[in-house]
Amino acid sequence: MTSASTPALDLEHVSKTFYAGTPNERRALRDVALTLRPGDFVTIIGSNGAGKSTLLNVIAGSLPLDAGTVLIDGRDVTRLAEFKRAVSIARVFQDPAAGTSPHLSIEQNLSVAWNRGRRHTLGRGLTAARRARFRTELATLEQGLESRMSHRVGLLSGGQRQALSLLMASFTKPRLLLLDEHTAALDPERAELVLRLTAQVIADHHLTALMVTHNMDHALRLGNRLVMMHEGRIIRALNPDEKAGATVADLLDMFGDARAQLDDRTLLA
Amino acid sequence: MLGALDQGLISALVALGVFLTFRILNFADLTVDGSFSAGTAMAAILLFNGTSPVAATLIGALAGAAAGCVTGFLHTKAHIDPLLSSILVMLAMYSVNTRIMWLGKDGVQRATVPLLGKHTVFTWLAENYGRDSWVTVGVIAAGVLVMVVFVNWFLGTNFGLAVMATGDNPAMASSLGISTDFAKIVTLGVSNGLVGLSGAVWAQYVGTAAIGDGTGWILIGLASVILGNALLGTRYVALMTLGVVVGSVLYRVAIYFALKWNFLSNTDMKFITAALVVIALVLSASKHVRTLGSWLSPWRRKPDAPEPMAVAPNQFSPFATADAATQPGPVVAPEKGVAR
Ligand SMILES: Nc1ncnc2c1ncn2[C@@H]1O[C@H](COP(=O)(O)OP(=O)(O)OP(=O)(O)O)[C@@H](O)[C@H]1O
Ligand SMILES: [Mg+2]
Repeated sequence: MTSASTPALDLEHVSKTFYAGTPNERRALRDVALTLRPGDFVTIIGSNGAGKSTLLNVIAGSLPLDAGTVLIDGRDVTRLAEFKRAVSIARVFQDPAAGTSPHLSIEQNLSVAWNRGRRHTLGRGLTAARRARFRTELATLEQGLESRMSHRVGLLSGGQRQALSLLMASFTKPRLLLLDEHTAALDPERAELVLRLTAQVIADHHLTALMVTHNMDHALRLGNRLVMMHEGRIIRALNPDEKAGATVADLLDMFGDARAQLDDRTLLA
Repeated sequence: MLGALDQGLISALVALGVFLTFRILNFADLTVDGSFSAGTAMAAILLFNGTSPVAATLIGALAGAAAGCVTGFLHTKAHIDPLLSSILVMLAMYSVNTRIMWLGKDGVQRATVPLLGKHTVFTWLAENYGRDSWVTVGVIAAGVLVMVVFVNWFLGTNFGLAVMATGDNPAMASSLGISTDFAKIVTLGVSNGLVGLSGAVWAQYVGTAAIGDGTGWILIGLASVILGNALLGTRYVALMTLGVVVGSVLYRVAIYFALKWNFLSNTDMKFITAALVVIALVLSASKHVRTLGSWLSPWRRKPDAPEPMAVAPNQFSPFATADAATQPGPVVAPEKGVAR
């Protein structure tokens, strides 16, 4: 059913307001539209509270939206529960503890992730074949985790957990990969490593991906498109050509301009 | 003494159920008292009416499982907090179980169903080996072992791993496509099924079922889990489940010896139970008992298998040294008194 022209992800008029109608009202997303073709890798930047995480949560289904539609491969998933969408959507979170199960071993975590999109049967969760498969997959992370497969994940460092989360999110080749500041909790060296692995798995598996980051350099280095958010809106979007030529200074300028424009408009209104 | 072993083994099934909810699912399930009585009441009335012992026992277990599933539905579909939804079911089960005990084919509304002279799972054993015998202990132990193997098998399946993930990190579980609602409902069903099974066997063992039978079993189950895990450790699921059985038997033996003192009466049981739980909790937090645990089960002391207690809290300072991050060694608290 999916042809080359069907978008991998299509967001239309997506809005989300927290605490609507109270003095604490927060309009986290205002009429957002975004379309990703298969193979697109979009980086998202924007100030704190811009609505980036909310956008990913709404796509994944962990937050219900107030208005708008979410289509994945042309299929309307707006009302679909998070665990059902997870067949096609994989995520890596900012908090290394969020994406793994600390009391399960590395291989058990991998097995649970491997079952994404499969039935949770009463067959063995860990077979020799699976272990062998996991061992080769873990080796690609270059963290030595392949020799520690029975260790509990709670014993791993933040960087190792993020690398593992990335593997768990990507090795079943999801239709859409959502990364929310997944290197933010890591030291610069680990962050670089996880970033390199990210670029590698996305390229290897031809994944369609969205990556939120506060690092302008990362946002420019990875991906083919770039989106800038502010106060619940997409205020700038760079196409592949524009992005290829952009520098960090350009981004900062754009951000300043767009913000000024927006503030003028709200003043006039 | 043999009686204490029998009782300890039968209540080990309650402890296994409590282990599944409290330890694996991270769900404070108090349905237990209600599902235990469901097991005793259902099995007793069926036996009273002449059903075969095996069928009565199984249906008793199913009655417990049904109560657990209701708790699961209340929690997942009506979004009631775990503690409250299970207390509600426990309360409601009191009435339900009373009704069940009224189902005698003679139509009498009983508060106690006597099983004297009825054919039970213990009849053959009692006739051939007497009321208290090592054979009975052995048969019950074998049955409990089957259930231990069952729980280990269950947790080792794809679904079991999903259940463990649901208990450990529910947000991750649903982001990986696991229906956490379904996992919770099924696990609550299995857990309370084990509790109901225990109740069904218990009624046949003591030869009667009364409406207040279920009271206090949640605490007994918890005491066994805490005691057992403190002794055998929590490194492997297999050891945790075995520990739960050991804990349950030790609990009964402790009660047995406590009651041997003349100044203690049967009514002091509840106090002793509470005191034992406190002792088990204090001991499980102390260094001393952890060494006892490793002495009891030296095979779990692999150099690369650190105590779960040592599972590091998330320690990812943004500028943690590369060394600390790659060091595969366990994170262990420094020994007391060692100069740093
Ligand atoms: N679960 C929630 N309940 C209430 N308000 C929320 C919730 N999640 C987000 N918000 C609010 O919605 C707005 C957008 O938040 P969001 O987390 O999406 O921002 P962000 O762009 O990811 O920011 P950051 O860069 O700090 O991660 C904020 O004002 C925030 O306070
Ligand atoms: Mg965010």
